[in-house]
Amino acid sequence: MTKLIRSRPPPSRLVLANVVELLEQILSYLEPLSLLRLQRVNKHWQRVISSSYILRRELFLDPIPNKTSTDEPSINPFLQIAFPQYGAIDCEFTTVWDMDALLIHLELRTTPDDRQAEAQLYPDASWRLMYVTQPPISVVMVQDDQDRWEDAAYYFKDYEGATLEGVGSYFLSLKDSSRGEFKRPEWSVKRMTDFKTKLEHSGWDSSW
Amino acid sequence: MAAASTSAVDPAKKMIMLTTSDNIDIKVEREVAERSILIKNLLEDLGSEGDEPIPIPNVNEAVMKKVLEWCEQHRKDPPATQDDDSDSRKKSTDIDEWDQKFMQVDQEMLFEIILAANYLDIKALLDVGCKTVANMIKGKSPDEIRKTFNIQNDFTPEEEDQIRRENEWAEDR
Repeated sequence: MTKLIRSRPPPSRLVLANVVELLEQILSYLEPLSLLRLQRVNKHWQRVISSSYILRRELFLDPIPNKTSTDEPSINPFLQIAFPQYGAIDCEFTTVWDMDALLIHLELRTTPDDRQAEAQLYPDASWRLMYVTQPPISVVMVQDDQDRWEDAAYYFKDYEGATLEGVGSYFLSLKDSSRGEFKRPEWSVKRMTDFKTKLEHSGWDSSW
Repeated sequence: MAAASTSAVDPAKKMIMLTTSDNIDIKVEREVAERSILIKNLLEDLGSEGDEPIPIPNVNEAVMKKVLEWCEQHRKDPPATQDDDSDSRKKSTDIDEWDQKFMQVDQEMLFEIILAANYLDIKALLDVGCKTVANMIKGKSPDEIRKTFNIQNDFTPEEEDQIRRENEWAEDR
């Protein structure tokens, strides 16, 4: 019967394992990038980090609502971290067919070492699910160091916004091109015609 | 009536009584106790002179005294504004000097203070407590964090490895 006597769990457990809001608040003071690693502490931490919309917004995994002001969206800082081989990832906002678009200029700097490349290419890598900007932007174009404008890629995802999946796959295909084996994966690149078709299919008025 | 005798006393300085979970009565100035939104609301709801002791069933004497020490120091702080929740406070784990000293307690007391601040609805104290824990987490590996806070790893090696691989791109950068 001694089990029926309710003993209070230690206070650290109450804070770090029982009350979700408290762990969420503690984690909100940490750098978003470190949250990815902290998911490994235990299942509770993993659940809190992967389900908290506050933390998910900081990780560019959930969209933040459109700002009312005319502020430009902020660019995902993890883009550079996920692709260190590109020395300069310059971004500028522009307009394509009256839609807000992000133009990314790339400059290949180094080749990642094997460990980096493997981590980068991992099919379930968490960077793939992240939005390119916050609030998310639908149209993203990439211009590489050879100014291949005609090859600019257009990405969008259900009009909720472009994720790093598409942009990153394009980046990785450029890496291959530097090795002389340039092959752009069809599934990852929405070329202009493809983009237009999808827009029309979705009922978007394309008078252009 | 007692109106004549109480009217001479500044209502903020009026003493009220709190009864802790271990049944200890603590006398405290009303203004200090009202740093706690819970106690403030209770006092307003009771609407009385505050002569009745207010039961605080979730906080023991040791923790309550510590919390009231903080409330005394911060009795004149302006009330928190809604803006504090937004970008301005984001990511700053700066803690002022007095609060840092105040938080130099053993881990059990630190978490007790956080729980009490949460229960008593003292936002600024809760923020300081959570920032203190965040500073303890900073720069530590998952394993060091488990050791620091005595957390059981309930992942299978495969599950943990899966999460590690998903996020390996972000390591050591």
